[in-house]
Amino acid sequence: MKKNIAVFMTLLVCMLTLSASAQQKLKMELGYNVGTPLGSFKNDFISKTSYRGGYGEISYAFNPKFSLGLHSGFQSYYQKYDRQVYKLQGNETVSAVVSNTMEIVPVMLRGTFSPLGASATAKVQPYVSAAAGVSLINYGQYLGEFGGTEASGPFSAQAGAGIKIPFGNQYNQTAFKIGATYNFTNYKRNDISNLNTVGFNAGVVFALK
Amino acid sequence: MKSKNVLWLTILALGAMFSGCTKDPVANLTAEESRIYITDHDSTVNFSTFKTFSISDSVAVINDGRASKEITATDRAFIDAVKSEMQAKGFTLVNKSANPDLGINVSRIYNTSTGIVSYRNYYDMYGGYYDPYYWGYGGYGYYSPYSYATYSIREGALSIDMLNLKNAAASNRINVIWTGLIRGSGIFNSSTAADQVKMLFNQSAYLKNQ
Repeated sequence: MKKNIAVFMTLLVCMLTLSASAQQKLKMELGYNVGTPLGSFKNDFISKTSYRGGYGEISYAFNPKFSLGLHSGFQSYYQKYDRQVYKLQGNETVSAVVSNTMEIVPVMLRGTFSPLGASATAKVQPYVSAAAGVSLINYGQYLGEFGGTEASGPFSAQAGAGIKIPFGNQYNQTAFKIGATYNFTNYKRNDISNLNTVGFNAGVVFALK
Repeated sequence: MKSKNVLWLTILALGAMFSGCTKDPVANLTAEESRIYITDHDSTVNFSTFKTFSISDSVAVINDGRASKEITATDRAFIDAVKSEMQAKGFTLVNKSANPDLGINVSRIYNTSTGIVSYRNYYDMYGGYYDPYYWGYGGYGYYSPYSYATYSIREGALSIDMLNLKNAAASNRINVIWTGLIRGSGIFNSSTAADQVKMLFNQSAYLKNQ
């Protein structure tokens, strides 16, 4: 865990150093994200789609087709289950309204490939992306008003695809971006054996300088 | 150096924004939803071998380990609710002097927990929340000697214990063969006492004489 953070800080510093020499290639993306749980996360913990999410990325374009960025965001999942009787260990039985919460804050390095390149004049430009890093997880479970949260930071990876729709003048390369991501997080806890989600995002990308 | 500060401020601001966007699961509960009903029992016991029961005429109030006996209107409501649930399950209420098979005790348990909240994080940014200019002293800093506060939380729970009096003489002790515990908000309320007791009995299907 500590090692992961150290690697990230090093990469971050490298990126910022690089960006200082060519800031016009530095871009920022901000957007809104909807997340839908999959698999065990959906079946064993929260099945509801989360509409509380957002993301941001600062990226550096190494060439017109490829950029690498520091990607972060958050998604807050929540579900309240109606009162139900649960068996605990031994002969213990509890009747409770269970509330499950999961906050996921990814901190990842993300590479984006745009086959048409940055100078393209096409109205719609596709891209694909891949990311890896950690996700800061805040797991919460409450039986009635009793319970709490527990934080961890497991490995996380993401694959994504979408389109850019440029607007404004071409030099600035400002664009709307819509896309979808598949998110994998290596997480096991109680009944949960993964934290995989699908995300749908809409945002704006613009040059920082 | 300055850009580093900006970076940290941005991370802090994002953190604050994110935490503001999350839902507080406890705040989203009604008093009824906040309560949990826990039961446990001795699985070697066959409850249908018991016929009669008696219930204590007052409630033990256990306050941070010190006990006293009380009988308020709410206590009465809980005792009456237990009586009618037991009768509905086929047990016969008898007087304590009539050698009941089962004895029932109802207790109110209060626990006080204390903690400390630190003001440090709050005062460090105080000038950001309240610009000293507002008070006519632009550019001044605030000084506060207070760094922490203690608090205490008192939590109440209600417990119902069922005692095996029938076999007490044989085993030389009084075994608790069933226990029910209610925790959460608004427990001590005579208008919901019957519903609360019903929850405990409903989840204990084995508890019957039929």
